[in-house]
Amino acid sequence: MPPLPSRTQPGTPSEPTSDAPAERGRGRRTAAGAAAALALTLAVAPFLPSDDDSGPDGLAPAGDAPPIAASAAPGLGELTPAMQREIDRVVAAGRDLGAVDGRSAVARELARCATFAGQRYCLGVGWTTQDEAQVAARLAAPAPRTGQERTGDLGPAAILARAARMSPRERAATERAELTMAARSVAKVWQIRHEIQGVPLPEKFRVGSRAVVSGRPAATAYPTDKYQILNGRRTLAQNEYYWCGPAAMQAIAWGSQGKRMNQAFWARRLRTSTAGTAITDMVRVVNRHTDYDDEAHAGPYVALDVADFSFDEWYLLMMRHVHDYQAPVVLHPVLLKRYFPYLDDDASGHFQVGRGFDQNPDGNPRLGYFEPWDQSRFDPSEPHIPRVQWRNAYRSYRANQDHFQHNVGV
Amino acid sequence: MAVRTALAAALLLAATGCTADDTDPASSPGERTTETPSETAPESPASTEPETPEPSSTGSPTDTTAGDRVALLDWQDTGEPVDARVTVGDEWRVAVDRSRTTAELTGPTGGLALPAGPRRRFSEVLLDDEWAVLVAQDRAESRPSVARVVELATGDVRRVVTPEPASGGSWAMADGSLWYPTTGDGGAYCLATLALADSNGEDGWCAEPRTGWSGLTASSAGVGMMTFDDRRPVACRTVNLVDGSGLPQPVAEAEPCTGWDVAATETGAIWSVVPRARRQEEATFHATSEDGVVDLGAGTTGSLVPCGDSVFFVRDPQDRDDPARLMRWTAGPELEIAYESRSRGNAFLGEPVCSGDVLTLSSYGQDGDEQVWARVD
Repeated sequence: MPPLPSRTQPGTPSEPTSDAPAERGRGRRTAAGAAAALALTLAVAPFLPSDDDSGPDGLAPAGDAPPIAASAAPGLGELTPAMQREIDRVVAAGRDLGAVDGRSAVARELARCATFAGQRYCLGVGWTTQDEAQVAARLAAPAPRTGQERTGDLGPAAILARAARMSPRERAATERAELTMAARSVAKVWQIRHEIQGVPLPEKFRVGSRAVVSGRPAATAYPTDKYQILNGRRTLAQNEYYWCGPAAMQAIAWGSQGKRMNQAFWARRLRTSTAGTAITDMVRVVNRHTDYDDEAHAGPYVALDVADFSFDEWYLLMMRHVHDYQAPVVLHPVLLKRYFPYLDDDASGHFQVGRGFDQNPDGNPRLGYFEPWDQSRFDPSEPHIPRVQWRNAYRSYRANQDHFQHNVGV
Repeated sequence: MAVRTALAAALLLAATGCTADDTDPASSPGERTTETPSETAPESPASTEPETPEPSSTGSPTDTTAGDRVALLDWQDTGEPVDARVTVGDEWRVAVDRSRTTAELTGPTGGLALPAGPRRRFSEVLLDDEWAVLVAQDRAESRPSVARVVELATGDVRRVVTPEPASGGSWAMADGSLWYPTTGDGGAYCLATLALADSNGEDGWCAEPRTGWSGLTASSAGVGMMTFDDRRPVACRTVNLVDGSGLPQPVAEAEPCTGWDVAATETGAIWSVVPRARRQEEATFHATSEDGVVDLGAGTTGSLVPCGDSVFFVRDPQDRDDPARLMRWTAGPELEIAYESRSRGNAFLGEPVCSGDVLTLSSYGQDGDEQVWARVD
């Protein structure tokens, strides 16, 4: 059986799993209170099932598999031969879009999926439990659900157009890079599925010398009052109407590096066009240019489809990320007035930076975030409001679910 | 539009040095904070963001607190998905398609479909028993909006020509009159009025340079609007009623600079205040009555809508067992609960839409969504 993705970061597969939170990198606070139980879950090593044991439907149990060790946040794994074959298969299946007629056909062509260690990854969307046809249907939606105002998220038509502009060779290289990064991040996905959604680990998912604390952590493991990361001074409004991605990335990197690079810098690295930025590029750049992807934080960021997440699971994911990983979330809502009632008008998909939570026992859970969109810059019939905002988390959950991709960068 | 460009440039200039904007320097890594009335104190003693005291300290010393009597309206399902853009009137209904490029009117005398036009989409739909006004905004927000007025009794469709509408902005209609933004001399951002019966339109008050206005509401009791300046990190927002001369007059009882929603009532005004700038969606509502200012409690920013003889606003669940509610204020004075979501805790309501004396409401919650309508009288 081929080896499973293995950590390339410190730690060995056979290492005792007593690598308690206190031993981890800077800033981690997993040791507090009931979070300790959660940390135990994380401290065990999720030994991923072999690729060869996973069927096309994903989440298949594994056979005997050499274990990999994962820290609280799994690091990047190595490509296994099975993963490499899967990448080759999916990339090779790509056709010249010039020979493909019709929006639906192009969508089907772009939304090809790979299965790595039992988890499905679809190009442009991320990790999902939906199948290729369902993912393609999202891209092929006949019309955007929102009005004309765009803030910088790449919509379905723009995704198709961007792909169509690439040469076959360029597209193949881009897809290969995306799939390679995904394959090496699969341990993170298993971890989230298990911890947040309670998905059982595969039978052969060995955990070293300690027992897994199975099931998801309780929300009571987290502070009940306001908790936040990132410096609220380190966020700016987007400079262009289509730069929510660069502005969000600026705030994330500013938090990581402690210095501000301008939004144009991030726009170049994100491949942002006037049509906007793709979430897969947001994830890629967070991984490449910040330390939030290291084992002291969140491990490699992935684009994760949360369509099958309940609100409680989604909110738990936010708390997990902000509190335990000390890492921001790439929020990906659709900016409609019904979710953001202070807006003057409906707008497009959008990027925000999730950086806090408040379980608010006397009320309803709140989410803290940086809002790059300053409508007063682009529509003078509206007043300026602060970029630092806290709000009803359920509204943000619904805004995320209503986005055609319904995914987040975590 | 020149005025928009000028004001945008002014705002942009003001925002250029915004590194200190919206500050709440949290310690890094994570910081656990406890709520205080000022909210920013534990985060940032150096914060420049103004924060007002807790809602309990807002309003005048004579504030009273209104009770919440349950008086649910007779809500009917619209038969449409919760996110459909439907406005239900007494006899007529307007449905805008998902791409917002076609509006379909249906009523007792037939139906009518109107396209938004090339590179436009519908941004506003206003409907009462006599008129429908459909506003199509330029997708690039550069050309003036195109507004068509439909006389429901005859099916006649006329375009609003003078004053020419600005792009986008806030529109309101009541008692055969229309209020909307237009561009005045020197590119000023102005309030236009139009008598729908004879299409007689007039320029009106214009905002001063580096200021703007939004949030128009209109009813038989009068017209309300929010005005604001380009102050940073938070604009100074003033709630106003438009007087008989067409000039906005601040609501004297409202706390300065923190207002958002406003509407006229028979006894004065109802308005909202945003106590914490970083919780832009959480407002407190207040109203004037013959006995003074009445504290109407929590509500959602941007949800205030006059309809029939009342004014309505949305209130998110206040605890995990609470439904989302639509609150009704009548000058009685009385505050009533007009709608409750079946979901508790994780629930919210969309902005209510009024047509004459009919409200349309979208309700979202973890136990299911619905879009409903009800007569308010």
